[in-house]
Amino acid sequence: MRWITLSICVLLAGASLTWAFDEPKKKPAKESPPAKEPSEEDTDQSEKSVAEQVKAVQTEMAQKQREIVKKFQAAADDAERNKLREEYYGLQSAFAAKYAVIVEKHPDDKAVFPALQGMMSSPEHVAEAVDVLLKHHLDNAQLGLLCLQLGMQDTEGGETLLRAVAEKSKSSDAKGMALLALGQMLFLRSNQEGLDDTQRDKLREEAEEALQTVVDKYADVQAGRGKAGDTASGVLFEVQHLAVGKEVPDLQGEDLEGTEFKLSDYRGKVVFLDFWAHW
Amino acid sequence: MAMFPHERSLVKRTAGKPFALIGVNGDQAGDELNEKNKEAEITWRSFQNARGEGKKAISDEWNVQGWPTLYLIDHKGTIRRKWLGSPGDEVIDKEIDGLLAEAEADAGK
Repeated sequence: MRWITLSICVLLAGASLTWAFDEPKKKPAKESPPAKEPSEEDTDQSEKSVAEQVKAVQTEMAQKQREIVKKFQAAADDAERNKLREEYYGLQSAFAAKYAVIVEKHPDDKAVFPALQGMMSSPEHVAEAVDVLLKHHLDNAQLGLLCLQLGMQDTEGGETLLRAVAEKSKSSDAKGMALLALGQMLFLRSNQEGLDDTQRDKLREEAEEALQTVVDKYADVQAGRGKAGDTASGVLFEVQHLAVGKEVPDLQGEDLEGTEFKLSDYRGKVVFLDFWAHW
Repeated sequence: MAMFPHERSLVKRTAGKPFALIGVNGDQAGDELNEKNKEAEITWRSFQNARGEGKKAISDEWNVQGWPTLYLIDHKGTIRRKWLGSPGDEVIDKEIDGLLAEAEADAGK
């Protein structure tokens, strides 16, 4: 699951780490390494402000990420790349454990917000982060972007947070983004395996309701790179036309040689449609 | 990109069966791309994602939120599975085999 959070962070940041989208990790989260610090560093940390402590972890993580990306770009084969990818995702858990230590000491300090955000991308720390966010950070306007990130994967902790923000936050930006993310999450869930039509329809109805509210009331909220209203309209189109169980809309265009063709030319065959690129 | 080896074997494995791997390619179309595809042995057909000035790219029309986005469509044209990011080769193989069995059963009726 973590890969997707990472990818969304990357999308929001507009960085060029798109390889993160390849081959998501399906394995259960690994045990985090114990967040032990040498005692010397402990003394050192107690003298720093909370913001500085968070910043120090962020800097260390960014440094490690850069090192791995550099190695990844120079890697000789897929095996090596896969190893590095795993290492990259492992970082999130390891650093979430470090964030958790700071959050535990200063849960209500505004400066721990980025640490809480880091904890949300590690399955072992989500529940704790949601708890602290609801208790102490519900009106933080930055909560909106975190909500957007959460909408891209279907998690229980994420859903709890989105519903609470949509209902109770005093920040209308955060509310709008929480509703948008909730709509996306419910739509994602409706496409999962093992649901019957009634279950799918129910999830989609609720997704549509949330997304329509965004279009009606929060259209101008800046949600990442776009406006919340535009993003919500895009997802509404997906809910109505590109959902599991729907007849696929036809596609028409040119192939890479410039010859016109249609997706419906392949009706009668099982089609695996892949949005891909060399990047 | 990590999907190419699996896709190459998928195309070989399904030869002669009612199956098509169709891409929507986000690169700049042209000789350079065709050369690259030849090198990577990408033999399957792709739409060009960009459709020229004033027209919506396919990925915009379909609200694609990340690459790869994958759709698995059955022989009747119904969307059966949809993934943002690959779910892994084994899952894809299993799902495709399931749909191929349905298609072949229908054809045999």
